[in-house]
Parts: sequence; C-alpha cells; structure tokens
Amino acid sequence: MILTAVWLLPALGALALAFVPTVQARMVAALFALASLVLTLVVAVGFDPAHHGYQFEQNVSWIPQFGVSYHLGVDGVSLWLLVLNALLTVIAVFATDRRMPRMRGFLSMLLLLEGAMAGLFLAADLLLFYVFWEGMLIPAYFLIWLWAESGDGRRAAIKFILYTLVGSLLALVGVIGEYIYTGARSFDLAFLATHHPNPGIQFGLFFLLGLAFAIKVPLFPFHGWLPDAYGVSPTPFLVTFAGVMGKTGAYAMLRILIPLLPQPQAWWDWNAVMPVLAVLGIFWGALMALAQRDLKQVVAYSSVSHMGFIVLGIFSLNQQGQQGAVVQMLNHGIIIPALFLLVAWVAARTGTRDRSVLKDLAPRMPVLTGVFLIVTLAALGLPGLNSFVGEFMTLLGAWQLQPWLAVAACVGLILAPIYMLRMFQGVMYAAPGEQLAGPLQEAGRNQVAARADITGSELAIIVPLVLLMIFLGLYPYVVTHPMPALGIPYPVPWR
Amino acid sequence: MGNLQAVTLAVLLLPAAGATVLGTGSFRLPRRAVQLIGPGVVWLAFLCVLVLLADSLSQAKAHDFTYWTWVQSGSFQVPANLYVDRLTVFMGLVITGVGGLIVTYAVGYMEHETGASYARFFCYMDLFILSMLLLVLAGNLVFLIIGWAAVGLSSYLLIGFYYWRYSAVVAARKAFVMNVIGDIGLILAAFAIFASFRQVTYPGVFASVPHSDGFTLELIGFLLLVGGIAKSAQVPLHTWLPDAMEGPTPVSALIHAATMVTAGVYLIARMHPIYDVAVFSHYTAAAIGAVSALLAGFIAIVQTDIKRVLAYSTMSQIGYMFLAVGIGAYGAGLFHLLAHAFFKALLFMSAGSVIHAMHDEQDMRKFGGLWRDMRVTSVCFLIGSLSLVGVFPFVGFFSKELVLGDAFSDPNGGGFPQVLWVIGFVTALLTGFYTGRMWWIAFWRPASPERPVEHPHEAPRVMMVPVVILTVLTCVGGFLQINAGFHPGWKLVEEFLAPAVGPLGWEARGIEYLVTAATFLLGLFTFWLAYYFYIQPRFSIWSARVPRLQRLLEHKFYFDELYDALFVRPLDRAALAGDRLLEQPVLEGTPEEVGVVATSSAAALSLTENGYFRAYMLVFLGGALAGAALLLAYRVFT
Repeated sequence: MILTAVWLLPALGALALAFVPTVQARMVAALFALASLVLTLVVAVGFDPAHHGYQFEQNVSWIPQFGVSYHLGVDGVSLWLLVLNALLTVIAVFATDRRMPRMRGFLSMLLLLEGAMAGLFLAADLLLFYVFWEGMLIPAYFLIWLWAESGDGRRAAIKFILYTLVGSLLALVGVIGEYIYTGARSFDLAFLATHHPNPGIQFGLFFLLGLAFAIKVPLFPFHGWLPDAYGVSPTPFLVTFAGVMGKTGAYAMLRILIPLLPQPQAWWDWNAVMPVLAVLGIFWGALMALAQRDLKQVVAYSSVSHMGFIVLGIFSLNQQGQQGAVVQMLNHGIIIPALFLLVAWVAARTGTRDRSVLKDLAPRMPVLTGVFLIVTLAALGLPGLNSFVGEFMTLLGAWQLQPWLAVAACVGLILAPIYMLRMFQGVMYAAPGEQLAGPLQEAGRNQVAARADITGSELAIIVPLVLLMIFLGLYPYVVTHPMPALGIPYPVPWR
Repeated sequence: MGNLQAVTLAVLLLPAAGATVLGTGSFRLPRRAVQLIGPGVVWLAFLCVLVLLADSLSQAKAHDFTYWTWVQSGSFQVPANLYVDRLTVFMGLVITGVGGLIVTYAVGYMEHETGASYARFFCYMDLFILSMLLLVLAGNLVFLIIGWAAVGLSSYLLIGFYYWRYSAVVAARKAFVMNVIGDIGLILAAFAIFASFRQVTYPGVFASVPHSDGFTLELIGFLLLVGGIAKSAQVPLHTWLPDAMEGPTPVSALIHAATMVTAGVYLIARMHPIYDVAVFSHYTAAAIGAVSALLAGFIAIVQTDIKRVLAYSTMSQIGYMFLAVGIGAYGAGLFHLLAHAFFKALLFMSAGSVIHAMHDEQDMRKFGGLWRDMRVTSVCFLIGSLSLVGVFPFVGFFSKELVLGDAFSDPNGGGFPQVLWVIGFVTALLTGFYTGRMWWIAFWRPASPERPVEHPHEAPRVMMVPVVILTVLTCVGGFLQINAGFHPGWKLVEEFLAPAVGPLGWEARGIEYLVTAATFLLGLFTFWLAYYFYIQPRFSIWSARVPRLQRLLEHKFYFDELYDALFVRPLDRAALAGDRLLEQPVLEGTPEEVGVVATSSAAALSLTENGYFRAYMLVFLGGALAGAALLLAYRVFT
C-alpha cells in the first residue's frame, strides 16, 4: 500500500494544485513533494538488505485475461532512484522562481512527472511499466513546450516527442512480443526473467526495447533530442528532467533488457554492441562539450558522456559494473541538477550563458565560486567525491569484460577535466591575456553588481546536494549495501 | 578503536578540520585565527606522527587499521583502512615536519593578501597536507588513488591561487590534466590488480604477488609508473612543473620540496614487492629518472627566473630518486628524498625571501648585490646551494653520493646501473654549473641597475625562523647516514626503513671512495667555473657560439610545442569540426530530416502514378524480366 502512496501522492498533489490560489501553489506543491520524500525515506529505512525478492509488495490482478497485474515492489536497484526522484522534486519545487508564469500548471506538471517516474521505478509488471513509461512523456512534453525558458520550445518539444515516440512504439511491439514468445501469458517481470525466448527472438526484442531505452538515456548516437530539450527547459524542470528522467532509460535496461533478454544473439550479439556504443558516447559527449560556448550545452553534453559510463557498466555484465551503474545513476542525478542550477544562477546574474563573454566573477561571488568548484570537481570525477565511485566501479566492470573498453573509456576521464575546468575557470577567473595585479573590485563589463553572491535560499537548495556529493564519496557503502536484495533474478547474480 | 588507531586517524582529521574551518569561515575569521589554525593543525599532526614514530621505533611491525567499509560489491570489497609502517612514518615526518615549516613561513610571505584570500591560501595549504598524508597513509589502492588525486587538486588550487592572472589559471589547469593522466595510470593499475588478485588492500595484494605471472606484474608495474612519473614530473609528463611556478613561493616549496613531486618515489618504494619481481618496469623507472635528471639539468642552465631554475633542479633531483628506487636502492632514494626536502625547501624559501624583498621580481638577472644587502638569507641560500651541488658536509653530499654509489656498485642488471651512474655523474656536474650560475648572478654580482629595490630588507622573523631551522637541518641532516662518505659508517635511515622496503641487496665496494671524491670535487669545480662564465667572463658566452643549442634548451627540448601540436590543438579542432560536420547536421537534425525525407519521397513516389498506361506496362514488363533473370541466375548458380 505504501508504494501506491509513493507514486499516487504526487499525482494527487498535481490535482490538488488546481484548487489552490496561485500565491499558495508553491507551498502546497512543496508540502506534497516533502510528504512523498518522507514516504520514500520510510521505505528506505524499512528496507531489508538481506531479503531476496521485491519488498513492500503489492500485487492486484488488473486484466486477468492477459495476465496483467498491478504489481508494485521495491528492490535494491529501484530503492535509491525512488529516493532520488522524491528528493530532486523537492529541490525543483523550491528552485522554482516566484515569477514563473502559470505557476500552478508548472508545479502540477512537475508533481505529475514525479508520480509517473516513481511508478516506473516501482512497477514489477511489464505492461504496468510501459504505462508509466508513456505517462511520463505527457508532463515532460508540456513542460518543454509551454515553459521553455529560451529559444524555440515548440520545436524542441516536438523533436523530443518524435524521438521518444519512435522508441515507445517500437517498445510496445517489443512488450507484446515478449508476452507472445515466452508463451506464458504473463507480464510479470519476475516470471519473465525465468522464461526466456530463444536467442533469435531475444535479438529482435532487444532491438525493439533497447532502442526505446537507448533514446531515453540517451545513448550515442540517439542523443540528438537532448541538447535542444535541455537547452530550452526551465531550470527547475531540468532538475528532475536531467536528474531522474535520463536514469529511467538506464534503469529500464537494467530492469528489463538484462534479466529478460540475457542472450540477444542472432546476426550479432547486442550485448557486445552496447558497450561499444557506450564508450563512443563517453568520448563523443566529452568532445562535443569541448566545442560548446553555451554553458548549458556544456553541461548537457557532459551528461551524454556520463550516461555512457552508466550503460558501459550495465553491459559489462558483472556485478561491479552493474552496481557501479546504479551508483553512477544516483551520483549523476545529484551532480547534474546542481550544475544546471549553478549555470542558471550565473546566467541570472550576468544575463548571459555564453562562456566566451563571462569572466572574472570569482571576486564578486566568492561563495558561489566555491560551491561551483566543488560541483565541477564532482562532475569531472575527482576521487574522493561521489562520481568517482560510480565511474571506478563501472570501469572496473568494463575492465573485467574487456580491458580495452576501460582504457578507451578513460579518454573520457581525461577530457572531463578539460571541458569542466575550462568552463569553471572561464566563468570565474581571468580571461585569456588578462594579467591583473589583484582581484577585481569594481563591476566590469559583465554588468554584474560589485557583490552578487549566492543568496541564502539558493544556498539552502544546493547545500544538501553538495553534502551528498561529499558523503557518498566517502561512504558509498550505504548505497551498495542494500543493492544485492534484488526483486528478480539476474543472469549474473549479485551477492 | 585503540589509541594508536585513533592517533592515526587524527593525523588526517586535524588538517581536514583546519581546511574545513578556513574554507567555510574565510570571511568571518579574524586574521589572527587564520594564522593560528593554518600552521597549527599541521604542527599538531606532526605531534601525532611523532607518536607513531615512537611506536615504530619500538617495534618494526606494520599496523593495518580498518575504520569502515568504503564499498562492497560482490568480491570487490574496499575497507577504509590506513596502513602504518616505517615508510609511512618516514613520509609523514617529512610531510608534516617540513610542511609545517613551510606553512609557518607562509604566514609572513602571504601577509599582503586581503582577508578572504589569506584564509583561502591556508585552507588550500591544509588541504594539501591532508592529501599528502592520505596518500602515504592509505592502506589500499582506492584510497591511494583518492589521496593521489586530492594532491593533484590541491596543487591545482595552489598554482591557480592568483586567479586574476591568466597564466596562473592555465598553469593550474595544465597541472590538473597532467595529473589526471597519472591518476588514470593508477586507476588502470588498480583494475589490473583487482582482476588478477581479487584484492585491493596492500597486505592482500603483496601476499598474492608471488602467485602471479610475470606479464601481469609488468603491466601493473608500468601502469603504476605512469602515475608516478606524472606526479613526480618526470619525462615525458613533466611539462606542468615549470608552469607551476605561477603559484606563490611557499606553494613551490611544498609542491617541490617536501611533498608532491616525491609521491612517485614513495609509490615505487611502497609497491616494491611488485617492482622487485617486475624487472622491466623497475628498470624503466630508473631509466626515466636518469633521463629526467639529465634533461632537467641541461634546461636549468638557461633559465632566468630563479624559481624556474629551482623547479628544474627539483625535477633533476627527483630523477636521482627514481634512479635509486628504480635499481632497488630504496634506502638511498628515500634518504635523498629527505635530504632534498630539507635543502630544496630551504632554497625555495630563501628565494622567496628575496622575491618578497624585490617586490615580486623573479628574474634573477635583475637581482645582484644580495650578499651585501641580505647577508643572512644569502648565507642560507649558499648552504642550500652547496647541499644541492653535493658538497661535504651538507646533507645533499651524503644522500647524492649514496644514490650514485649504490648505482655504481650494483652487481645486477648487466652493467645497466653503471650506465645510469654515468648519467647521474654528468648530471652532478651540470648541477654544480647551474647552481653556481644562479648563485653568482643573483647573489654575488654587484647590484643590477634594474634592481627594483634600492635597500632590500631581510624577511620578518616568522619567515626567517623556518629558513634558519632548515639551514641547520641541511647542515646536520647528513650525519643521520654517513656511510656514503665513511664506510662502514652508520646508516640510520636505511636501517630504519629496512623493515618496510627491505635492505639493500648488495654490498658497497671500496673503490666508491674514489668515485665519491671525484663527483664531489668536479661538482664543486663546475660551481666555481660558473663564476668565470657569468661574472668574470674569461670565457666568451657559450650561448653565442652555439645558438642552436641555446634555443633548444630555452624551448625545453620542445616538449610543450610537441604536445601542443599533437594533442591540444588537434583536440579543439576535432571538437569544432565534429560539432559542425556530424553533430549538428546529422545526429541532431534527424527528426526534421525524417520529415523532409518522408514528404519528398512521397512526392517522388507520386510521380509514378502518372496515369499513362504505357508507363505502367513498361514497369510491369521490366519487373517481370528482372524477376525471370533472378530466377534464372538462382538456378544456374546453385
């Protein structure tokens, strides 16, 4: 029952917002978001790491003729993503500017998105999973289209919907195919994980389902929608959009492709193709991040690169890599929202996101600089901060699969400090050719007030994320400890 | 948690607390508090290391303290453990002892900084000390990597301290990226180790070494070496080091002398069970050390910035340490590390006093006359210089001769160590020459007309005291281990370290004395010779005669230009080209293209529905013929 509440509560909140005055909308939304965060924390505290199988299960027959059930459960993989989703929604609500147009609609879409994503993480039935998968698109589409902060929102939204719909429709065929070819007349994931179709069928199904998931991640070369969509999206939405929604694709790979289609081999082996695409994505994302001038685009492409690590870990087909992928999903979900928030705050103070115009901000916003530095370091995978844990484990997994994959992926590790530091230093420090005698005291050509440091409320939003970056870097055991409590059996068991 | 375990943790927590307080409270803390906290926590950590020293003197056994489980994923289990043996204690003493002196010196050196910057500097310094301590205390490879990277981070922060100067910003980024390349070497080494041993803690790994095959160990050895040479600024990953002189002088002292660049030496000593077996990678380390020592010695001859001369001399001296640990003379390498920490910190800090007095002028051609105006600093600098040259009785004499003597008498390796010895010997002569050049030009020569300050002042007491302490240490430190000059003399350092890194595998030979005397005298001779080249030009300026050599040296053997042409520029060009040619038109254009293709192909196809009967017949006939031909071909060919 508690799991139903976890996804239903935000959805109800979205509904409730229709009946409150705009001035109170932010408070009501925050209440609902906080309440669902508390619920997920209750689940996390009550979670038993030693138990095997789904926990807090709820299983009601839904369409018995087709073996569809309303089956929810939480396990070691979904647990942290559930918490992340709730946490980021709280942050997104608080990060919403009071002057946001059509505030109630915006917040209710945010909450609806949270509900859909929570349902996705909880679904233990393939068709139910698909319902939430599609449900997630609706609020996302409107958020991109109607609340675009810059540029052509309509175009970006259509591009996003076209990409994802292609995937979704193929995935629907895949879902039906899975139902037919296992011949068991059931959509239950635990059941499907023990009844595999023959490798040739798996090959076809892998293509249908895998493409949908790869677009959502996005995996190279299906990332075309991302720069546009991230570019126009308003920052509070980006917090959950980039922070959680990207993870749904990776989560689906881990939840569906890995256990349900362990041998997708016919003309070639999909399991061997995926890590190569992942490594290409790591490299390409990093290279493109180098070429960008818009700060938001730098972050967007860095995200493409980071998602490559996650997919690489998943398809390293061993425990270290796959658990590392989950850790990395969580870490990336903490870092990327922080980066987008910081970029937005810098842009709000200076009126531009162009890297080549910004400079010398550090003396005017020292605290913001310090926070930006820590987040930058986390993003480039500095050992000791959280992202390193995930990258290390996914690469360790890749090394055990094929050492050259890990070596090739390391190119991404070398490029990351180049593009991240270039961005950070370019914004905060002296520009090329500048040799000043001391820190700049008066406002320069950026039209920034002499002192425009981070505000208290901004600090309150970002400090929890920064603390998590440090804490999870020092004690990732908290995260990996409950992971082996899997809901459904994996081809390579987690111990 | 036992007492010793708590003390070990305190060694890390003290600088960590210092850095946190200084970092978060930098705007509100009064200056006095910053001056107390900054160096204070380092000295407290030093006391804790002394406690560990007392313990390790009483017994030679190593401690392995586990605090919590860092991560667990199946068989990949990493405890948060600290490993304390005599090598750790030795390094800890150098880091906190010499580091403490440097941080104390910085209280005076950085006095002109404004409030927030002042606290920020000490925050970075404490972070640096913390990182180094973590690096040497780590009990497993993951924590080693964390310490390793944290050192890179703090050096990035310190080099880029003057962020209002673009050159500092770029130098910092360069150092960071170079260090990341090294980190990746270590990370891959950790993968190889885990994949073959299923272990990442030191005791576990070293216990598995005898059961491993040669190829794996060589691979691990080479990967570790990548990390080592990047951090220790050895060829070919050394180009960040001279640029790192953009930081304030105490930074240079910390980075160079006491701590950062010696990390590679520590790494090889720490991993000696692997290197003792992996002969190729071990000798590669020695060869890289020798080559670096020589190249850096050459480059130092043409530098005009006093800090850069010292930077290249550091690279050269680290090369000696690599040479020593690379042939298995760990005691000699680590003794030279200790000696170098003394005299190079001394040199950097007295150079810092001069730069301070000269209002931040670093070009030594514009100094001169310092022997008259800054007598105390000059004496200290001279003692440091003579120690660098390897003159008796300063500490550099004993340590350098020990390194060279061990290489000379090494019976293994089929003459290879002797080749290295020759390189080391030539480097010693170069050392004498460039050190002499620096000394005569900057200190001895009459004041340059371009000198920025008419009457320079000696440094304040807070800067002078650490310099004097280091001078004393440079004078007496050599008597810890005198067996290089007086055989069989006592060798406290080697004997102290033997339980951790093993004793030297061979005996020194009598003939070494001759060699020692030759190195010492010739080094002193070249020091003196520099006087006649640069002050009393008996000999015409050599650079005028061989301009091509001069240019080669001034361009530092074109390493920077090469990397720029090979990596830096192609990378940016590839990024822009990729964005323009592939990313924007193809990968991002897709949905629109799909739309265009759909409508245009529909338009094209609709042309076929033209209503002419003859056209339909033609297509029908063509199709039938093609079908028949295919059928025929199928019959024929199967």
